[in-house]
Amino acid sequence: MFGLKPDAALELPENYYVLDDYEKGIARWCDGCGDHAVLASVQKLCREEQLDPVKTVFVSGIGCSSRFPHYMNTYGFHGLHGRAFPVACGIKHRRPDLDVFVITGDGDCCSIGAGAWIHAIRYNVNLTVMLFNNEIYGLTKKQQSPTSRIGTVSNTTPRGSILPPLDPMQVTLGVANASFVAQTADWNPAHMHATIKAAHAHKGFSFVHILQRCPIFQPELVNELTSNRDNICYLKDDNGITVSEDIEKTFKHSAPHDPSDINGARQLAASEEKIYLGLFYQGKNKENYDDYGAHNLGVTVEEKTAMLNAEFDKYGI
Amino acid sequence: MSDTTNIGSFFIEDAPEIQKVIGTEDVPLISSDFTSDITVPVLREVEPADEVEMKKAWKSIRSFFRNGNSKKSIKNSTPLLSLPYQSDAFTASDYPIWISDVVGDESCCRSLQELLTEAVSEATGGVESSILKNNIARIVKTVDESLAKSGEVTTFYSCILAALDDLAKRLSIPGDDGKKFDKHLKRLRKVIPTHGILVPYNSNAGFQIFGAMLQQETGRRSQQLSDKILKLKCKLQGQLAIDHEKEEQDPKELESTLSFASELLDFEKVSKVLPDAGAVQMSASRKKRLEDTIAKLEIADKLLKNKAFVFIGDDQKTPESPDWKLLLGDVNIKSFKKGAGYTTIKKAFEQEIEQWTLVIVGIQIAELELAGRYMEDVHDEYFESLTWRDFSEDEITSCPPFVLIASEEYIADSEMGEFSKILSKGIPIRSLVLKNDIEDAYKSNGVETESNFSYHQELGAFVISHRNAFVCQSTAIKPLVLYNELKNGLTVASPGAFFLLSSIRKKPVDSYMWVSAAVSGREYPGFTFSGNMNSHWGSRFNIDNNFQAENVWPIEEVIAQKGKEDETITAHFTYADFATFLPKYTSFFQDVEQCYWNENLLELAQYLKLDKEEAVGKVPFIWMADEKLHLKKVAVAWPLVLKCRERQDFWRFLQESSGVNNYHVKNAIAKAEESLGVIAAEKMEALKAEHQVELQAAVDEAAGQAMDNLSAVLLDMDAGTFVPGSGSSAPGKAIEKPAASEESDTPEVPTEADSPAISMAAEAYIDTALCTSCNECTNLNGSLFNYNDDKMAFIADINAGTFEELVEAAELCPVGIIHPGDPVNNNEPGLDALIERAKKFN
Ligand SMILES: Cc1ncc(C[n+]2csc(CCOP(=O)(O)OP(=O)(O)O)c2C)c(N)n1
Ligand code: SF4
Ligand SMILES: [Mg+2]
Repeated sequence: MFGLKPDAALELPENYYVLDDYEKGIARWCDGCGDHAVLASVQKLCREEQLDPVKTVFVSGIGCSSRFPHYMNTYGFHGLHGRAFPVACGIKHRRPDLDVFVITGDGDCCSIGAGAWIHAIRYNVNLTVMLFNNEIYGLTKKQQSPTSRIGTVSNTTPRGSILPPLDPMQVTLGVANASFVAQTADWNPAHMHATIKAAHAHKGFSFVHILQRCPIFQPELVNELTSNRDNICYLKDDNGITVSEDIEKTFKHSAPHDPSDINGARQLAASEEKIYLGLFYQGKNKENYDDYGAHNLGVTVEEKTAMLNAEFDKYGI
Repeated sequence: MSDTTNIGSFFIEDAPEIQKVIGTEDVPLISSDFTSDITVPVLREVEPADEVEMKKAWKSIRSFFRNGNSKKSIKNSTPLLSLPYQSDAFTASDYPIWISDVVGDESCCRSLQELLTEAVSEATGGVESSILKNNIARIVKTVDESLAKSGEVTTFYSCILAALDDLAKRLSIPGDDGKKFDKHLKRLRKVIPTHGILVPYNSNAGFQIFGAMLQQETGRRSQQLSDKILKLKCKLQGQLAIDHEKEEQDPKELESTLSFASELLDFEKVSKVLPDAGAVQMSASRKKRLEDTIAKLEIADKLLKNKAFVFIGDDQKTPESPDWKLLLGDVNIKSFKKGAGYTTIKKAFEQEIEQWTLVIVGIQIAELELAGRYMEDVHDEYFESLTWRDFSEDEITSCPPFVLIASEEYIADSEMGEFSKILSKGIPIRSLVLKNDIEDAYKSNGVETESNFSYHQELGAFVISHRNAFVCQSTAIKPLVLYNELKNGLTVASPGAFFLLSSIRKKPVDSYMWVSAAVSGREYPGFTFSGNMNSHWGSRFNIDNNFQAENVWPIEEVIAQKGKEDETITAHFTYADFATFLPKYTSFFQDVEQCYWNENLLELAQYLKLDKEEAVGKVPFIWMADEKLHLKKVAVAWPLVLKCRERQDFWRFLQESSGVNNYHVKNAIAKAEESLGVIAAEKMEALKAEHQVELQAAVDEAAGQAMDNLSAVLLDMDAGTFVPGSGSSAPGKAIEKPAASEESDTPEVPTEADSPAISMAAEAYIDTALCTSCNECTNLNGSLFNYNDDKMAFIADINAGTFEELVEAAELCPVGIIHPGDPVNNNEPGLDALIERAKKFN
């Protein structure tokens, strides 16, 4: 209307947070570990969105990457190996007012936690999920993980691994009700940041597969990934992950892809030709299981007991 | 089988009980702590009623439409387009405003937001993101809150200092960020102005702006004028003094000034030989004229004490009216009785202007005199008969303005005749005509009768009809625009009328909303009309200060939620939408239940476009939303439709006058298109024919070339060097010159060898945007490398480390974004080896 701007009505929160407000302790990852980059990006996201630290929760399983909640000055839950998702879904179910992030590793998510992972995707609970994939168990000092490439020499596969790796992107895209599936790399901080930001803005299970450098146990892989620019291809679309022109130039290849096209997304994930970075798939207005979890939150325990007792009384003899 | 049906029916029967436990749509059980604020309107999915019921319902809808006798209240509903602003947290977007109280500031009226944005960018050195910059909204909000508490105009500097202290305390930013923030704050305190006042939005904001403008403008002008007069006076006095010097020197005077030499000089004799003696003196008449002129100029000293004359109608003494003395400050204020306004002000004007005529005459004579161009035979007579009508625009506007302030009714009831005289005689008297919502806000409870329904005074149009006055109709919604409109009105010599709508609702938010709706719904469209006699009629109008001035009614798309899908709804803001704010119109609105929606229910804006036959059987509606944000179609009764027509007609008058959808323009375009169409068709034919010929020629030529090329190849010649059109004039040459293709491959940019050697040292840098925050470089040397606000590395101080450290960091950096450049210190040991190692990264 005349002279009116809707944003003028925005209520300002009481506090203003700076990076320091989200930082805690000294991150004990190895020097040069990709996890540092993700941490910096997530802290920046918190500041950009001015997330209230007491209304933000980071839930993780076990692994190097899963130490993440310790370095965030928010609430956190460093849980059981492979069980980040059930904990996070539970939190979101009863506390829809909290912003819940899930940090998990390739071992944590795709190995011991695979069962929980599949169903969390289908439940499409409103979480921002980051899978740190270094293709190895880092914390326990180099055992093969389900995502390790054939021939990976590790403490459990001294003569090289033999099974083909599991691709988290293909798995996620294959599960019913998947709603946000993106891939990025920790060594392109601008692209990663844009991806995490888009994931956070999405309502539902936002899955970000992060190619993560472990220079200690996967030095050759890191070298190959970061130096061979021919392997990587930037997915370009207005509805996808967009970066500034300067950052776009850091990619040698780019390809168009409409993120509403799930079949195209599955093809990209299955392609052996290149590693695609960007938003593979986004479906809006999909069913969110947590929408059904919180509708009786205002009812007190006494009221619930009374109502249940009234029900039971009907069957009393 | 029977078991399952039993279980099924059990659930259905007990459903209400169960729903109490799990919660339903109607009994929202979510405690308010947990609800996320939903702002998207909802379009429910409702089955249409069956035919019989539909018929019955529509009978009553039609009856309502004819009579406007709704019993249902729409009190808790809001027009869809004003929905986003239904919040107490809403603050008027351009407010508070800063108004200068020192005469001579370049921009005297600015929004606080804009003023701060500029000051902050100066204080922070224009960096893209800084904590201070991200918190401008917070500062504005703090100021807003403190203004809301007092409800009054406040001095700017103390208020802003308090807000900045509050910000610093509230944020209490730790560490390096905090230090930087403090530094920025300190600088900000130095950059912001130390004078001026802050004005919040309230029902008096418009008057405040008028008062500030009047003080600024009259202050500036009287300052200019008194400077000018002082200069002229000095110069004239100088002339007289010189003349006085030219008079024969009196020996007595010499004696008194040179008394120390009394024993040496014979003053009688000396006086005869002094150089001035005997020079030509000015005529007696000129001398007298100069003296008279100085006397005239001196009148101004007294006159300038009155910066402006303001006459206020005695209806402006109600509790709702503003305290004019306070608002207008140092001006001459008088009050007048009903019906006596223009006669009083005119009389006062004539008296005052007579005095001013003397001053202006004085200035003109002085200027002529000083330029040596005064001719008695011409000018004596001219100045004898000079009146203010002969003044230039500048001269008129340099005299203090005469302003009459009264309500619209006051003027419409008893002043129209005199008002018209002032306007047609071109007497430069300004009228500030006030209108407010007093009737709607407090007094109205009854239903408006049809007889006074379409009565609208439209005094603005009345003034326009006098052709040569300045008119502006406006509101305080856009304060900066209003300031300039008023100022423009004061800088022309013609009579002027400013029409100002305000609202006196208790809460400023409600006032702002009401006025905005009045402008948007074309109840009170904004416009200016500059009645300059030498301009085109159309160019005198300006309607830019409206919401979507190009449309009949403002139109916007709203996204609503329908089930899980989004649905786009196109809604208009019509006069009827504004009328929902007026209690007296309640009975003209009736919510139509969603099960009765059908094709006969038509959006009002569409309905108004229909002709009589098309409209038969249709009922117009406007989109509204209730408290739960459920969308509603609210039917509008016929009497109100008529009123909408009337408002649309007035708005179309303004639009067409300003050239929007103008009848004549449309006709002219149609005609031009038609005739151009004929010409274009002819041209096209001609071009086609021409093209055909050219095409044929090209085909022929190409065929010829192809043949030539072919024969060249056959003759073992290099076809690549073949220049089209050159025929086969260069056979053989190409064979000798295989370098031809190489040449064409070379790009036309200077190669490295070509460019002159630059001896400047390459600077070290980091591709900061690509930094992965791995701590490698900052761990190596935290002074040389540092993180920015985004925790991305940059070279903080090149002198805080060695070249060796730079090279080492470049080697360590996992993403290779550190470029060591050339060493700054040429005395560092082992440089040659380091430079070699650095090469890879530069
Ligand atoms: C139930 C259980 N089984 C096994 C382990 C041992 N363990 C700790 S971390 C880890 C794998 C972590 O790998 P990943 O999730 O990829 O994390 P990274 O360290 O690579 O970031 C395993 C198997 C455990 N802690 N708990
Ligand atoms: S072992 Fe690998 S994943 Fe773990 S902290 Fe070190 S570099 Fe990072
Ligand atoms: Mg791992």
